[in-house]
Amino acid sequence: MKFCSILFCAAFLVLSQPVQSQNLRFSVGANYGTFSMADLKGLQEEFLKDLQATVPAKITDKFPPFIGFEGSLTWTKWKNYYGIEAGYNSTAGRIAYSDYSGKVTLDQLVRSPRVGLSAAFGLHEINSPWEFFLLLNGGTVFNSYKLDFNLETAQTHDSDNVEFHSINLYFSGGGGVTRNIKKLFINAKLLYQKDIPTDLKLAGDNDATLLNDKGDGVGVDWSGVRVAISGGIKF
Amino acid sequence: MPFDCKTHFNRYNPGLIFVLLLNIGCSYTPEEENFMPVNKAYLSERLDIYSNSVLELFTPTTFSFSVSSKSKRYYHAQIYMDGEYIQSLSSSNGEFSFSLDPIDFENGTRLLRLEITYPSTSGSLADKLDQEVFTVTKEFQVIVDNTPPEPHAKPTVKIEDGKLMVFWNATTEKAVKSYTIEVKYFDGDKVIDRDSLLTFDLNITKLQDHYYAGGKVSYQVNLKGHNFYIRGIPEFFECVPIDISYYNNPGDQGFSFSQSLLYGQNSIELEVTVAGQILKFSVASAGQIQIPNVPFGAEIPYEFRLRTKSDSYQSRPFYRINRIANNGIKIPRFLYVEYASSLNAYYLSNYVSGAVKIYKLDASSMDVIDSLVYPTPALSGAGPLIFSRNNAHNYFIADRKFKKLDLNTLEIIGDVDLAPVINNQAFIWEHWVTLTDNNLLAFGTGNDRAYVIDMSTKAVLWTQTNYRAPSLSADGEYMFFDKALYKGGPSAAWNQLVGKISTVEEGMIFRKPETNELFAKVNTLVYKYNATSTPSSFGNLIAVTTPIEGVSFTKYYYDHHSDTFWGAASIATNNYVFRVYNAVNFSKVAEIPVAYGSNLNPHYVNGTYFHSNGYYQK
Repeated sequence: MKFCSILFCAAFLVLSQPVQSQNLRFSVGANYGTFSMADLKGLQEEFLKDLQATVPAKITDKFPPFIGFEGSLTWTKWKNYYGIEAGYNSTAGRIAYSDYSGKVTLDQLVRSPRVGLSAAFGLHEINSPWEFFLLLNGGTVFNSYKLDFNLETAQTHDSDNVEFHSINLYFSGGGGVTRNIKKLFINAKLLYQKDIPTDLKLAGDNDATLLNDKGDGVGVDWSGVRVAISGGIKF
Repeated sequence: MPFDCKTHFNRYNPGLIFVLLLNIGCSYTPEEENFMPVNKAYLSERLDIYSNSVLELFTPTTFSFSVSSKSKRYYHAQIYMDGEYIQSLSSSNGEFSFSLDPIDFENGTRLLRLEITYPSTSGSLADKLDQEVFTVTKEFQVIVDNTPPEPHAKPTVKIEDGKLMVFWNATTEKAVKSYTIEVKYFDGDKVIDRDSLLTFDLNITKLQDHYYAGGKVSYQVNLKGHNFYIRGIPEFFECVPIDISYYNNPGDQGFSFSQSLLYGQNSIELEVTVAGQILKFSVASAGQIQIPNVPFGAEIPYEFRLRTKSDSYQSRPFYRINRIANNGIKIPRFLYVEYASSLNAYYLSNYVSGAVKIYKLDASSMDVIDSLVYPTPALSGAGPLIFSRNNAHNYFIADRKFKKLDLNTLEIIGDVDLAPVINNQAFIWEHWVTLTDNNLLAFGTGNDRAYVIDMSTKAVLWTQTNYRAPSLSADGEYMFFDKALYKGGPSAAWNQLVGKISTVEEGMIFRKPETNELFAKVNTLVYKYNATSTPSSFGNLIAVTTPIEGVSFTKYYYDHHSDTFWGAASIATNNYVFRVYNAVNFSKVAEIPVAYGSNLNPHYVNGTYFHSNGYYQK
């Protein structure tokens, strides 16, 4: 999370510098997408089963789609763009139960910044009013998975959490369109991201792996469709 | 309030980018809650326990209680006494029990508090976490008393309907858990058996001692509690449960017994042991035990006891007659008997415990009217009595001397020491050792010599080497010795007369002065000597008709006081009879079964039967 904050602050600083060439483009924007999270959903079902042995808990959040943030810095060459990109996505799962006597929640919070390389292959000349292009990205996702348990009754205020980390490789591809307005531009993209997840490790102890009831390792899988819109400036 | 990203992004805001950057940490935060409407539970259970708020604790007691609703998942109870925790209980059905021991507490009034907790079972989260529990509390006063009770009073013991019954008062001590009725049976002051009955039913206040069979017994009620055992005060009881009487008629003797006082004791019976034979009778009715054919002089042991029918239980004799004799009347035991006609007295002698004992009995009453104890070493031959027929000369032997006896005063008036005369040989005593009216003594010695000695002068009138003993007639005129008859006198030589018995050797001579006949009784035959001259010359031997029954032994003796001869005969193995014959006509005067053997000798003197076992019979 701290890494993402630094990245975007750096981008803001760049935007505030004098522009020397329109071959350099910087953009920031938001995305919205679906997330596979197959392992974590399975794990959530296991948690639910355990909790339901005591109370009729339900899954209230099952890693829903949510807004993420991203930015890129690219260079043009002929009709193509090459550069780096960074982004941040989050989602969560929740199992909850409450009544007059108290409540219990078990949250699975996933936070994942990513960095990678970006390539866009244009179908028109650069700086046309409308630019259509194909996208191909790849990089690394830095996952943070936090299990957060809360129990509140008249007698008990119990809160406990544990955090795991893992690193994924991701690839995404799709297409997009850009509307150039002088030095500014607006960009819209449709992508599909595919992750190669790895097992979550306990924070501070890489030898401790999060396992499900079957004894298999559990990873964070961000695979899914992304819709993004961003705005930028050309230098 | 958490930051709502969706809300923020749904609006266009010129500072969007800026806000985005500032809130790069904006992440999905789940906030939905799954609220379930659950009905809240309220305390409605009831505690079922003693309504009495004061409990008594005298003995370890188990208390039980229950919670009326039994649908809870679990129940816990905590017990406190005077605020001090004692124990915890768990139950799955709301039923509890716990025990308190009074020895754990001091005497006095204590406060017992029960705290029962159980879950609400409302189904709420707190209920599922066992945090929603109800507590019911109840308090009691507990009176603790550890003081042991006083010894229980004496029970009452008596015979009712023929049963030995023991009654006692029920204890009022609440700490008593059981009675132990302790029974001791005594023989005198010695405890010979004991028993006890344990009962936990404190309402029982009586028992029948089925095994009581008479004699001394004690009963006591012991109280047992958890931490005490208090022995009661014993009550002693004693009774002779049956009357036994001995009857002795000629040819018919035995015992009669009454119905027992314990006729209701079905478990006991009368057992009579007679001469090793055991007879059993019911105690519910009177009865009789006839004892036939007890030999004269025999002492047959009898024992009466009431005993349990079970052999495993110790029985107690209540009546004993050690020995009885057939028609015999008890007198001192003796070995020798003589009669003094002038004093109408019998004289018995014996050697007992280092002394010659002589008893003088009145011949009419048979009472002992005088006695003499003469200590003397246990030399062979001490004790025999020998009197002359006219009682002019009377001796007993002690210190290997003939002690002269004053029959009137039972004083020793001198002695005759024959030891030098007979070369210190042992004196062989036989019944036909005879002492004549003129003080002549005929006897044999250990060196196989026979003597006739004048006891007045200690002169040897006649002697012969022969192991057989001579026998003198009471007048001292004739002697029978070794199949032959001798004629003699104080100053005359002893001459063998004609006639000699061919097959026998020893015998007793007796003479009938009134008929001037002389007989020699030898075993079962009597031989008569015919007079060859008048008045007193005998020589021709005639065997008279065999007058005496008998098989095998034994010697018969002549009693000149009653003019009879007598003796014991074996008629079968261990079966003896005592026969007395009239010496005038040889008719049998009497025949009675008799005990015969070592120191079991019958006598017949002056018309009275004697037995050395210490009996007489007229």
